[in-house]
Amino acid sequence: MNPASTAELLDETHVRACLQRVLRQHTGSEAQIGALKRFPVGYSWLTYGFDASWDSGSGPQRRELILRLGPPNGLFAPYLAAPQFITLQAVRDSGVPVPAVHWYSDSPEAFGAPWFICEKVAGRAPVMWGEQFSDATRSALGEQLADSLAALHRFEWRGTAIESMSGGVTVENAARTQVDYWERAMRGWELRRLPMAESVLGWLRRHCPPAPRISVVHGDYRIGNFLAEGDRITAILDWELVHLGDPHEDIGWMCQRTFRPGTPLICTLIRREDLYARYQSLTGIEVSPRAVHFYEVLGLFKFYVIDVGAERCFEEGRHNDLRLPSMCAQAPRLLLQLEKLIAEAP
Amino acid sequence: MNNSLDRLFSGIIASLHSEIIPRLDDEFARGQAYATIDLLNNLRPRLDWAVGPLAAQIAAQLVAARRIDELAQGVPNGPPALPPALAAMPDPAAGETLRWRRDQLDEHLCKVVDWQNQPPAGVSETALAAIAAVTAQYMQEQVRREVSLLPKPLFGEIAGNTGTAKPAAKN
Repeated sequence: MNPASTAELLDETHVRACLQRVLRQHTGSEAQIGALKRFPVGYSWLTYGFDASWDSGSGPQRRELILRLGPPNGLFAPYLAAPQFITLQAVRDSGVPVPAVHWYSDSPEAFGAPWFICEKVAGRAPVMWGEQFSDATRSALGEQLADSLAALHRFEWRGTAIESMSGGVTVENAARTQVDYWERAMRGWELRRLPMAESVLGWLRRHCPPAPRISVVHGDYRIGNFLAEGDRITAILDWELVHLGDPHEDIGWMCQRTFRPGTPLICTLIRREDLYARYQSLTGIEVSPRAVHFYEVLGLFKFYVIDVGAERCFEEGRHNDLRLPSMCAQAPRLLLQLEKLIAEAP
Repeated sequence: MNNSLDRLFSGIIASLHSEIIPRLDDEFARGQAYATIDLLNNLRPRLDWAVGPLAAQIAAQLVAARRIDELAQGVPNGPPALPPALAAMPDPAAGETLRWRRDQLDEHLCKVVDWQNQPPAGVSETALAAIAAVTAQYMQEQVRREVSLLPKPLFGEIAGNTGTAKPAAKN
């Protein structure tokens, strides 16, 4: 199959027909597929929920499943399903709550796009705006958010399939590798250069910290990217930016002000000092405020680069999603925040 | 179109807010509608009528009016003459021309920042600091000027949290 357009991947008839073929191929029998529900989240991967039932050698199976598709013309295309799938499979029993994964492919053969299918996990995704948590729920979710991150960063990835993602990253070059990665992304997308962005990039290059160790870094670890049921986190989601790097990177990212509007609580859930203390006691990694600050700056810079990417994507007509230009209109606000954040260096 | 741009923007936004969004049940469609409002709010302080079609219209008016003036020479009680204040084509300061010039100047200043980021050997700290102070002031003013045009973002509403108890379901 040729690469599919976003319109095709939004066409439920097309997706259903492809799903039918994929399930037949992987289960060895004709599957019954219930209604497809598209979740209206994210700017890149498309997400469908569906029920499927089929006969297997061990009897009838019925599953609630999630299909994720990386559209060839999406914001960060080209996408790869393999890093997410490999990571989710590897960390499954490590103390990080993740959905069980079933099948994946980066070939366009099945859907015209990279895809993977995983188990649907119960719960809803709390967001940073307007949640009315009780103190007990807030505290429980905050602690589990810290615990799950600690479990991820403790995970011994060497000797697992994740090792194939290492790309030569070391404690010395982890920060510089990420700065280079996001600079390349910006260069590929920018419609014009802005002096403030160049100035921030210069600051990042001059302040790269060494990493205390190389861990699996989620890349988008925050409120909004986990499911919770009551006081319990049931799954950490959205692994599309997963890579190996400095564990401070995830801490700096989740500490972004964007994820705690109007509150000092990290991700609106936990005090920074409590996060650091709990994380340190679970990982043995001493949290460096300077490194966290560096990764907060890098994180905010990533937001800027993502805006630049959104601008390019919309300008080229690859997406008509109006959330993209709406989002990138705020880029100057990010540059202003970057200037202030750099001035707050510890 | 004879309505003012400002009225058109405010009317479209009001209609989306009060007539369209309350009738949308689909969360994704509501997000798109809020993003539309956000974009209109962003465009509102930046847009003016396109210069090109207006200039063409004015040129055509001037051709007609000048021709009428010629034909009216010596005609008693002829038609009113073209007032001298209206006789010249206004300076066509097209938005695109200005944007191109702005981008060129920013690229020039980016090259100055590149130079600051990796100063060549032998550049004195004093000279570097003096130039960096100028670019820093420019950058601060630039982003503040841009931010002054930005409305409050509607990220929460666009993401589906509209205060109407619609849960953000995902997996």
